[in-house]
Amino acid sequence: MNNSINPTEHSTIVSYYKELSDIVGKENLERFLKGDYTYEDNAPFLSVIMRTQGHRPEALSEVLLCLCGQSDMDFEVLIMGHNLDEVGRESVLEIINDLPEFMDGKVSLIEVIGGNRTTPLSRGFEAAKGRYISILDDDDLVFEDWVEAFHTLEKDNSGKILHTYCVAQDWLNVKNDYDETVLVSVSPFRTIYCTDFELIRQLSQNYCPTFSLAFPSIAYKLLGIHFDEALTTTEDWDFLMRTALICGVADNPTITGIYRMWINAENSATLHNKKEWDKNHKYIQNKFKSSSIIVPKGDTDDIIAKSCGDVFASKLNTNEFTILVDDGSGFMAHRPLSPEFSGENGIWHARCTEFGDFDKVKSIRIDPLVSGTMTIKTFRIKANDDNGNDVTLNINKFRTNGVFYKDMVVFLGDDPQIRYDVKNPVKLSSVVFEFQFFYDVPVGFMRMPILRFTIKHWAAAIFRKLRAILRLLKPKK
Amino acid sequence: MEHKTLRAQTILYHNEISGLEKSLASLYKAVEVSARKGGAIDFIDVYFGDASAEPILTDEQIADFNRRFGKWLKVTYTFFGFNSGTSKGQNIMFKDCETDYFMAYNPDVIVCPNYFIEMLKPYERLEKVGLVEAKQSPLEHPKEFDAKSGIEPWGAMACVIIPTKVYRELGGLDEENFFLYCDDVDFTWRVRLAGYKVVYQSRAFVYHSKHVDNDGHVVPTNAELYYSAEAFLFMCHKWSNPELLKKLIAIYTNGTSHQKKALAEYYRRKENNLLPKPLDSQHKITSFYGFGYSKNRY
Repeated sequence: MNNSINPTEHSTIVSYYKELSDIVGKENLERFLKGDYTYEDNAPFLSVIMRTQGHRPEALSEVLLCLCGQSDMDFEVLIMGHNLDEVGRESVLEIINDLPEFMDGKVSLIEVIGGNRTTPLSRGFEAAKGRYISILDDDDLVFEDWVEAFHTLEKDNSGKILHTYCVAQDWLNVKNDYDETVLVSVSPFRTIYCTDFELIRQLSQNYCPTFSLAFPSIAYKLLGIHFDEALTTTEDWDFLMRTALICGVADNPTITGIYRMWINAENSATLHNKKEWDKNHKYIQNKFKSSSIIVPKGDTDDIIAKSCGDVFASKLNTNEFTILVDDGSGFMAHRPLSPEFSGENGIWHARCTEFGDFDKVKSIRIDPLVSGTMTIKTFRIKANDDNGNDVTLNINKFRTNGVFYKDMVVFLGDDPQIRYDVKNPVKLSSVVFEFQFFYDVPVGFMRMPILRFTIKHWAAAIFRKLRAILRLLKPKK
Repeated sequence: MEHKTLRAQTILYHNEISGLEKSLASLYKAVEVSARKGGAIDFIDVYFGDASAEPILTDEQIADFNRRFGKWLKVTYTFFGFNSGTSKGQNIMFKDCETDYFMAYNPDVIVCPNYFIEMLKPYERLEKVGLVEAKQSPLEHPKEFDAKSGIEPWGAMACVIIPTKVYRELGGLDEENFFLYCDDVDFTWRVRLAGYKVVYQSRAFVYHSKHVDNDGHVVPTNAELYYSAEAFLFMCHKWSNPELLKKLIAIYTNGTSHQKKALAEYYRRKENNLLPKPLDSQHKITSFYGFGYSKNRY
């Protein structure tokens, strides 16, 4: 027996400790483990980092008003003016100066010149004094309990990332008759960000808008977990995951704000092309692959289920699953319906009975998720009218923006949709959708010649165009 | 710009003082900004009407408000001694109003710095404006409006500015039929019936606290559930919509406890001839849509 061998040297825990020491430094790691860190005197609970280029004064003014209305005022706001021109600087300074007296000393402008969209975040985190830091964009909106929800969560979860829920809403930026900017909400709230943080799911993409999170500043300042300024998009996802892998995440299921999705205005999605997004996505996932990951208790059952081939391992985000009904006034004229979910033998059942407001139903549209890269299998619909009669036969074969493959529909693009039209519109009492769901795409599908799909889609597009031209040429009666 | 006078009135009911202070501080700043930028408003009178069971403010607190904010506004406090509701409370305080404009608002709203400048713009730009409504944030009301001109079918009175002569001409809010809710829908339909426009000014935003549940729906209070159910019945009657009234009665008959209670009150008034005289029989003004007061954007 060789006594010079360290009996635990290659154990998982020692390896993990070494890995972390290499990343953050042994001394820093030891201090972090002991909580050996002193905040500045009068440090607030929360530092709010707000990037702005000074192009959206109306939205900036509105989000600052939301901060005026907070029930918990233990915060500071650092407005990170990025590459501001003279007009933008004056506009931001005027907005700050015009805040009510109770905001005096709470809001300051820090100018950042050069770098990319990540640079102002780095400067902001460096300047932040709070125990926690959140990134609130200059076009987000928060409810009065946004700070309070984080603060409450901190009491039993200090050191973890704090996570609350938020809703998404579509907005338009329009000009009125006097050439002034008017911001108008145009959709009901979507609860797509109202789920707990799931570490494994988060490895594939980010489901947390930045303002739904508050990061422990100690992780940034002591462990040196900084933003990767090589990234031009999804820098928040990269930063969140690197912090989450060490600090963990605590959830508070309170909806604390509105993530505004601009239909007709500039945002990060429109400013960067798909190639750039894909490149950054891959770069971030490669980082995950080179890290050891501690799986939180709650996430283990998902992994077990997936390894057992359980269809429910895909963990369909039922909050995203919406049903839209057209009674003749269009799908957008009514609030989306929320079905009840159940399942057995790998089959999901989404049952909906909220048809009271609709005298007659012309079409039903199912939006299973917001993003694509997913597969739906063995999809069926069962519908009953007001008298309990089966009306399934009265429903046309479904249409979809996905691609048919064997007995499946594969969705590669975002906003997947399945639509049924009712031949003779009726008043419905209940509808049940039956389906299998997978968060991936069948291997066989990916191996199919791309040309076949291309030809098929081109042929369909040419057919539609020709049909439209023929309709125009057809003499009117 | 021509100087204008304005009185801001709000009804208190067991409010937190910190919320009132924030609201006052925001009004103070908005007047200062208006005065600095040459706006029409350079001083306002703020009237608190307290409908709580006991006074929630002392003379010292009022004096403190006037010390702190006196440069741009003056606070006057009245304790009613009974629960007036919003409509009666506003009417009581309005009686001696002599200013050019009258502002009705919820005591917890926080106004944006450009509030007065933006709110008075529609009066300069359009003919015969009878009421301007501010945009509520973060929860914007979904009712349909013309984004170009701001003209809307009705206005929510969480924060509005009205020419004093219009409020007086119309006899104020209908305190007999609307205790807490829908007094604003009724009033703004009467504004339109009298030939005035109701305008939504989305550039004048005010923070108005609302809570949503975990499904993203607004959480109504018990008072809201009851008084809005009762008001809906009276609105259908007053604004000549017997078909909708019939549907509502059918629903309320087997509905929630709030709906049943509201229906009982409707029948009591009907039997005692206490219901209001129906208006707009030709439906030129009303914008009932489904079970709402107008079509919504979503």
